[in-house]
Amino acid sequence: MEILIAEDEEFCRQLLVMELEDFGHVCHVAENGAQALEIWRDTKPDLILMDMLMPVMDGYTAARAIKEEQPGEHVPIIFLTALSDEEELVQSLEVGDDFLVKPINFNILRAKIQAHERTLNLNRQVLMQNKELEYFRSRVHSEYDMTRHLMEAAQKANATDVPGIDMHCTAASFFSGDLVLLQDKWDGGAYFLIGDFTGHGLTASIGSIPVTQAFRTMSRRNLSVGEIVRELNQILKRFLPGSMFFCATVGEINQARNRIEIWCGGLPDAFLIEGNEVRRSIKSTHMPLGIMGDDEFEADTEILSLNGDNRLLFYTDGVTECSNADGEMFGEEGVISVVQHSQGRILDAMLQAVYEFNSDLQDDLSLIEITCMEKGIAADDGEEVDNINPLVDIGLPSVSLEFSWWPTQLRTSDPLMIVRQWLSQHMAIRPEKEVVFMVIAELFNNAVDHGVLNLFSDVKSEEGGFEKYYKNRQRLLQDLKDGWVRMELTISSQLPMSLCVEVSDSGQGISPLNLDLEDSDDAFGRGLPMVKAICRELKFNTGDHHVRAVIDLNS
Amino acid sequence: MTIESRASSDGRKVTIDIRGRFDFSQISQFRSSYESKNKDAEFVVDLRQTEHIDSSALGMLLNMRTFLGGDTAQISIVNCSPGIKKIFEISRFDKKFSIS
Repeated sequence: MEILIAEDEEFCRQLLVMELEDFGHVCHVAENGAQALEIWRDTKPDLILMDMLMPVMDGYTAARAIKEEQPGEHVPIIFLTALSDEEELVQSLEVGDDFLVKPINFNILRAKIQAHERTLNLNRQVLMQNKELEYFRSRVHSEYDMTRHLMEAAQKANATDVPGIDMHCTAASFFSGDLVLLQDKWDGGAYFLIGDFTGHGLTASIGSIPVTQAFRTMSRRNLSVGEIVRELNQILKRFLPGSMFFCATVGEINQARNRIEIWCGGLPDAFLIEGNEVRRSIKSTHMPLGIMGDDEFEADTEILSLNGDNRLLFYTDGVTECSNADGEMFGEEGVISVVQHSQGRILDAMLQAVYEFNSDLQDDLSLIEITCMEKGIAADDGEEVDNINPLVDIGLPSVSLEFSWWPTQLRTSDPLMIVRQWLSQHMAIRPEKEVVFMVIAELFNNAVDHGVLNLFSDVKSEEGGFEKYYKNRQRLLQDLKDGWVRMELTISSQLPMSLCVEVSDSGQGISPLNLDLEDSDDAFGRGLPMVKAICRELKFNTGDHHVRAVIDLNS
Repeated sequence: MTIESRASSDGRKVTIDIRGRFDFSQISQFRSSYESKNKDAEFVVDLRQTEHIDSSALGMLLNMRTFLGGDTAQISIVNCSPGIKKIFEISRFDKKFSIS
């Protein structure tokens, strides 16, 4: 150890240095308290032997100065004193750590130094561990911050203002193991998900990132509830450790709020409510997500019909399993009682009831309430009105393209696929591409069936005639030796945007008899009348087997 | 499989999913998707994945309706894109089917 000796008597000082160096210590010396303070500042020794009575500055004052300058770090100070006054010895221990009465007994001094060395080492160890803990704590903190940012970003896109659907999610800790997601559809319908990962806190909430992302992607792609849960199950099975799973209910409700399709895996019973009465409970019929392999997984859903007086309530077990000071649980009875007595939103009444039951929340708690009276809002044409003009401003060129089919091409299973692929690239076509595709298909099939193949539709009205007709068509196509269909498509570059479709064929060309749509139950004869109803212009020229149709786009 | 049908466990609801094309190439597949099911069931034709339809699809839907009892048949056509919805409206199918 490095030891500072502050002693004004030279003989005594020399003696101490000799003795201590014999024990293997390194010594610094000072002749008074002021000098001791300076040397201590320069050398930071491990231990100080301090004479009580010294000129310039006494040991007591120097010791106090040292302790004040180095708070938190332990510097053992042993006072050397000739005093035998009990009170002064006690006072010395208020600042110092020990004392030794002169004349010094070196055996005792050696023992004391060893004892203080042990304390000092212990102290330094604690200090180092504290530093490590502090570093670890701040690292964990910044990692938490970062994770929270990720989760918040992942969930930011949650739709919150879907008419008739209210949701709530409370976390018992910093991170929630519960997840509530909502995604409105362009047609006014909506997808929702409510779920509960096993456990609480960070580990439980981490699973919400892949679930949220996948749910978003799939609901934007307009997939069915069955397809969504199957995919989520596969993701979670891959992602979660074996002991963890995700209890969840996933649903899709239509715009009119009269039809809901749901898949329930592991959450408490949901309720279909009419007025203030529970009409029926919706039981979970599946294992939670993330347990079963894809081959065992059951994605079958339940479809319920709803009316305008219905409400639906979904919740996680944080609600039913909330227990009060007496260990009683809120339970399903509690939920039903709130439903029966609530006025206004059940969700608000339920939260209030749960907090009154136990204000110290133990578990994450989530709810979704759907009020069927409030219909969804479709992304309507309002948006499209704004989009009419930019097309001229960005100067889209007019486009024309001609397609020709010979027997080989006519025989393929989907001769129009390439036309659809090409057209769906065009921004003016996309909004109502199905309408455009239908016109093209009708004109093309008309040319193939009645022009090239010379088929008559009469057979369709017979029993099973519909299929007979298409079998016959198939056979004629297989045997076709020559004949062709040509189609020319032109997209205008002027407002209003339009698509002109001209079709000609190698055959006789028949002028259709009746182009008016009739409200009949006949399964045929609808094609060309529909084309007429859709198109701004439709002209048959039987002379050269040619038909020309103009469709307004952006209508 | 471009056409898939599944019945609820009690057989009272049947959902028919149609992917990609819904035209005369699907005639027999579409017919067998409902013929083997309980006639009194509620049928849902889900068009969320349907990319294009033509007049023969309309004919097939009408044939289905006739097979299931005409005016007493319960058929709803769901998840139509705006374009497909427009086709149903023009053909006045909204009077014969529930369309959403």
